Amino acid sequence: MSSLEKFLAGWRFRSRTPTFESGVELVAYVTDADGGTSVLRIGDSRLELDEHVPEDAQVRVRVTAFDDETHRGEAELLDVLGTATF
Amino acid sequence: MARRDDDGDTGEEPFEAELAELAQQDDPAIEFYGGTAVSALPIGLFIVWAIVQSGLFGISDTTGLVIGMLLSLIVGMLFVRGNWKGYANTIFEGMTQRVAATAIVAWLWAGMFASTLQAGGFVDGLVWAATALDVGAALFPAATFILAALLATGIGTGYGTAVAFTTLFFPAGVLLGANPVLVFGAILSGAVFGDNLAPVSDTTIVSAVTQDADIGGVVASRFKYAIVPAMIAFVAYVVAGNLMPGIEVAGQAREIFVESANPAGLLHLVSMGVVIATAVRGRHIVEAISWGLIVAVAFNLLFDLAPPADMLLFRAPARSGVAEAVAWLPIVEIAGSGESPGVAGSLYSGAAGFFPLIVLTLLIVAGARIMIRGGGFAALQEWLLSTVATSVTRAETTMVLGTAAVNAMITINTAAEIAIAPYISTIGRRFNLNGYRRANILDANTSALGYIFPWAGGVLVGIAAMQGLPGQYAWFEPSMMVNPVAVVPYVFHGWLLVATFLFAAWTGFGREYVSDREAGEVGRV
Repeated sequence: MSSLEKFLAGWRFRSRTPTFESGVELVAYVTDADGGTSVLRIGDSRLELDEHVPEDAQVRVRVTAFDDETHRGEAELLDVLGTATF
Repeated sequence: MARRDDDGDTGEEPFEAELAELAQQDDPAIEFYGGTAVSALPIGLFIVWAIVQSGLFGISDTTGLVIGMLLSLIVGMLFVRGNWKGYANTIFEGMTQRVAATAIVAWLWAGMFASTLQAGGFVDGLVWAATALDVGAALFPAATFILAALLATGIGTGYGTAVAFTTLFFPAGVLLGANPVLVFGAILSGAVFGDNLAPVSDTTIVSAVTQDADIGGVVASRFKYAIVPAMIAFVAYVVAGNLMPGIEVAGQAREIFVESANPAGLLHLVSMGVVIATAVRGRHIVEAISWGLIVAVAFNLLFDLAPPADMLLFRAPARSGVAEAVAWLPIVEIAGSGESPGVAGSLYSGAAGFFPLIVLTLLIVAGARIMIRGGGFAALQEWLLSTVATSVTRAETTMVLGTAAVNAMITINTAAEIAIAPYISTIGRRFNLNGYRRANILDANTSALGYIFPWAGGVLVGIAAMQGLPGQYAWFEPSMMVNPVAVVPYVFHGWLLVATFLFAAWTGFGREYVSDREAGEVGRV
């Protein structure tokens, strides 16, 4: 990303409920890991992970399904990158 | 962020090692008499100490806060169930976290840089600009805002800006017939702007490193939130400058300025630009400030802005034969009678100025670690997440108001920022808010409110500088002093910054998720 792009990034109104295309790969934190299912909450949208990973782990996932109406979807774990320490 | 190298698949359980490592980190290690809430005692007692010392007694002494935190850590230990060793070890564990070390390194560099810019007469350059612009009473507050913002962005310290501008621009503005309250408000607004945006500002550094984002990227992403309120604030100072009457004083405003005006100081706009440009280009902050420092020292020497001894000086005792032999060097002198030997200069004082804050930071992160190990942090966080921050909009609003509340209590804004930073990180991460977004919410409100509340450190240093004016100028009467309560509504940029972030939380302006853009790593070289 160039310096100019860094200044121009984020000049927009971002939805509370972002949507994701099937097959898209992304990096995010595991936000809920109660009851056996790990969830990535991105804004008010939720992606359920196919494996159990503890909270605060940063993971790379591939979206496998997403419903634009309910803002819920599923994702496949590709990699555990680390964990937030602060 | 503890990041592992990508070592690929390891067979049937590809993430086993990573997950085991993560599980280990969550073990609570300390038990307290009275339950998990008691693990908040060290931080809680410190906050009470800080309120009493800075809020009630009006003492803004960072070393005083250090003692408060030390005693709080001792009191907390008395409540540990069983062996105290785990508690003691947690203090070490907290202090050796990378987040503290990163902030400390950046502060030391920023301190040397800022001090060297001041030794090189950057303020004198701005004073010259004010004289050259030759603005009248109505435009004086608006011009003051712009110039104070420039100084604060260059030297990163809003407190330093408040002192320098209250000493020079405030009396000149009063003499010109500008409204004193408005001029003081404009000075504080400029301080807010720089404290918020400068890559060498202590609060910018804390906001970036605690939210796991690179400082240059934070500054670039912050620009959009800072520039719009600054433009509105500028217009507001023009309008208010025309509406609000000044007081009549017999005297010459120019005389105050003429003595210290020197256009050469403006050369340091280049030094400042070097730091901002290199940091935004993604260079490590140590590298960026080092380049700025090299340019600043070179300018000071080449253009005779400051003699070498103003930047570094060894004042050796007379008994040192070696020193006597090299006393011809411009950075060595022999201490005269009554002078104590020592090292001095802007490099020395700039770095040393941060020592108390460094020690305080180490102790606060140790206290926070104890709260994490004792389970108190998780309990409070769970309460916040289950009852208050239940959606991304509510989470961001909580982050804005929570930062405001802590700043109202701990009036030294950097200390307040360090105390609230773990919560901002956790609440924001719960909704996968990007590190840049979290850092911006944290710093904008810290910077703004640190110069708005009448008991805030930023306001008090300005008032303290103002108290010296009657002794300095015969015409300056104590009745011309500004009451810290009266200036509250006129810190336009501060208020607009807080409003911008409430607007941003409610509308999603500028919001970025972790999945949108990965923040650069803090320590990248």
